[in-house]
Amino acid sequence: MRIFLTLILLCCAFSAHSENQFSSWRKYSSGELWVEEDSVSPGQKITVGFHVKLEKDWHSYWINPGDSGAPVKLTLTAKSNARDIDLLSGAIQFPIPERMETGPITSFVYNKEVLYLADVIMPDSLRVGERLDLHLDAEWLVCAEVCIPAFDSFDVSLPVKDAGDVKPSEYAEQFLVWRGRLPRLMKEPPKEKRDGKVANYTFKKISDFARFKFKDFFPLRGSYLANGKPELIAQNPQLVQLRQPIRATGERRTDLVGLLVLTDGRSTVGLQWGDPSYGFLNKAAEKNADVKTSAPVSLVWILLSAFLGGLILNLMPCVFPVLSIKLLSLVKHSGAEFNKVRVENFAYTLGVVLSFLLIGVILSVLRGAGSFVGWGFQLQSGYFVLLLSWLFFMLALQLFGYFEFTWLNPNMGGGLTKQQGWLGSFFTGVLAVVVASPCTAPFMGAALGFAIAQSLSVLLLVFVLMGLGLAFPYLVFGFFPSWSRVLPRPGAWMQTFKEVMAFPLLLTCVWLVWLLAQLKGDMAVVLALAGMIAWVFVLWLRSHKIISTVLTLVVLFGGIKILHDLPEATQKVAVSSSELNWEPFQESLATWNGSTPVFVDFTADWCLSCKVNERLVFERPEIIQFIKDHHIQLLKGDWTKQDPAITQFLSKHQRVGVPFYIAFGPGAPDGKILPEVLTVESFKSHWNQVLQTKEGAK
Amino acid sequence: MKNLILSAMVLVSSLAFASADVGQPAPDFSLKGNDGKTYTLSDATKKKHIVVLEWFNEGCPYVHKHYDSGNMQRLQKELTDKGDVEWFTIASSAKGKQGYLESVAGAAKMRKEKGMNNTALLLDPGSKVAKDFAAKTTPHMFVIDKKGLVAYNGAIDSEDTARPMKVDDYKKNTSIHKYVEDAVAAVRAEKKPEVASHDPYGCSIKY
Repeated sequence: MRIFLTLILLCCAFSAHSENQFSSWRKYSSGELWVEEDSVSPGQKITVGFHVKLEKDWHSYWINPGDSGAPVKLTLTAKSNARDIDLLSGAIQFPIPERMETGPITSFVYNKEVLYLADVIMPDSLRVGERLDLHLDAEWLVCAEVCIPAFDSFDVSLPVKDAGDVKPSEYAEQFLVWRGRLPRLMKEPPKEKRDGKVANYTFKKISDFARFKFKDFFPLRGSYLANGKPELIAQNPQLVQLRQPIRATGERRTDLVGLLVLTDGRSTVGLQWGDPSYGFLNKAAEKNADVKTSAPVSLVWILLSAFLGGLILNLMPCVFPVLSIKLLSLVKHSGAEFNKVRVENFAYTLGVVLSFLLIGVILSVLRGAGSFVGWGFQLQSGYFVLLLSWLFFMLALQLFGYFEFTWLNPNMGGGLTKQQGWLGSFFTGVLAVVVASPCTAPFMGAALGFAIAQSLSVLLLVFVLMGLGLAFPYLVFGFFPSWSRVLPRPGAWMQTFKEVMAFPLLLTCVWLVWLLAQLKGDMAVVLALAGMIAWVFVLWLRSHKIISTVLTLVVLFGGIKILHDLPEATQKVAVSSSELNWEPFQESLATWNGSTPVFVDFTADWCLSCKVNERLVFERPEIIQFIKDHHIQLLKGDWTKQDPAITQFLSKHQRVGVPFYIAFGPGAPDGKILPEVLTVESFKSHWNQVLQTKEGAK
Repeated sequence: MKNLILSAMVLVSSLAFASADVGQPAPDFSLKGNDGKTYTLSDATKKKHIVVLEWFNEGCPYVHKHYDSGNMQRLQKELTDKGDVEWFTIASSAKGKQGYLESVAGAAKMRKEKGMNNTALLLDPGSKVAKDFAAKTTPHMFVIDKKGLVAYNGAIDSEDTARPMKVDDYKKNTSIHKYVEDAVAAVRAEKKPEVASHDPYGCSIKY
């Protein structure tokens, strides 16, 4: 027995040893370079395939190899008449793999054979009559129990012919077979809900495959999903619902999900969401990638941006109505003792900063839980908008002097205690932040985008500085109360000023009700307006304490319940009143394709900054002319309601909110981000850079 | 009912701890080394040492890449030289599988043959520690900070190929992300590593 064991060990030792010889893979696998066509033609596409054959028990890997292993690595170069030829190659396409489980290790593999495919476009510079020499360097890992890397290179020489003379090659039939085993792309992203360490997915099937049943699910390379078997929650002709654990390590790209495999018992189809764009390796491209890695942004600069952004937020239209309340209180006390001015302004600052902190915490918790949310996310909620519209309506009534809110009264002082004044200022601060959310000020986009990708402490620091920026003008009065002397003295004019300030508040109500209509439809408008009448009724009855209290609760909860039962407003197609042709955002179109410049506008109905830019820039005749002259394709991403595809695109560019403008052109093939606040001049000057070719303006 | 909930909670939490997630306490281990001594994580943590774990299988081409070029030995020396880092190389292959080390003597011989500059080469014949850490590949790397929390979990670097490379070229090549070196530097500076986890590459651990 012992001898037997020793023999086995010796065997293993031997095989382990022989494995170190880097050529031993030839016993288990072989590769070949195939081309679907028998010749090439200038400017035309060919399909190149790398065919791998494997002995029994040996396998090679899918794009996501699983817990171990590696996908194939290919470098394709070409020469013609001893000149180097630049090829334009698409991503390597991987056929549907099989799952293999060995103890706790999961692998996604091919057995027996596999054909990796890629489309390659020939340059126009090829000359008919010459030959094209393709050279492929391949590294592929072959494993059974043990792994051996295989390295080999392959050459194929093809004649260059006129497009009409190109015929299928001897391998063309094989290409057809393997193309049938490639996954199809899903038409829409799966719905995702993260729940601690698992993610729940709802996939929509393509209608052709209604009768196909769930077979397996493979996460994509670079996604944050673990490789273990998914749990099937439910399936029907339209949907498949899965639960998949989240992995402990990895890049965690949220735009990559995976490959859903369905079968009807005879044939198998794969539906994929996410494109990892795994292509041919290229020595030059590697060098470029090295240069392109963006310089780290300094934290000091980001904090400064956050502060400046907060400060400028004071001038944005969203915050203005609430600030009028604050301003009134400041004026009221311009004659009062300094101590009081100081306390009130510090309380206001505290209210602002704490609210920003809270938003920061909520944002990071929601995103941690997998929700695709960003700045202004609360305005994507109908409930929030409804309550806000009522609150603004009541505030307006109060400014008219119809009644007195005890905790938000700019006229506080007099008979009321000091403590209430403190509380009033605090809540004014809270309110300022709440209503500020639909606006994004310059500098804020960059700071927020940076913060969201950082640790919680950095994120909160950025939010605190944004808060300090917003509160800064009043904080100054807190430190130097004597400066409040520069403000006009309180007097009878204040009553008029107060009443005047009620009008912007009422206008804000109009906007909020319109926003509610976008979110929840026409009936929601009726609800909001009826609610306002009900609030007047409650106020009218306020001497009857019990009745008005009961009525308050009825209106509040009744309103929320009714809104809850209303269906979501149907997503409207992005139509624009302007004469420009805006098309709905599609990520595949948002790129420089070599001929058409593209401009993408990410907007939302609740985003006031967006609306301002649209009116003052995009709809101006000179801009319309500019866009037409340069044949710029326009895309519009509507983020009024949550849309994971948009959130993912934004986060790729390190943004978490709208407005977001990006332009693609010869001068900016990877996209140039335009500022959040645009003018006709800045729009044009940014575009001139984007349109410039590398050799200089044509 | 209460007991049921409680036991469910215990079950869930014990499942959650059957890995080494970044930011969580690393599972303790007690393994025999090439010198016959027993090494534990808690001893190193008591000394306030940073610990680097490296999963090892002599027959794996990815492990070979790093040892044949001398890169692994260089990194072991550079990191342990200051005396604040303990580096354990762990062989977790099951009996009869590739990379299995049978005895202390076998481990001592292997360590000498490879010229390892680590603290010790440890024997994990039952693959228990590999399972505790949910280690997937060779080389799968972990960096554990002075408090015993996992600071890095994943690949040694971004160069997920078995293609051999000279150690000088490797050091000079700035496009390769050297995750473990960066993680140890960050932990030394009491910071979180910029990349705290990256999918490990290599051969599967032979359970």
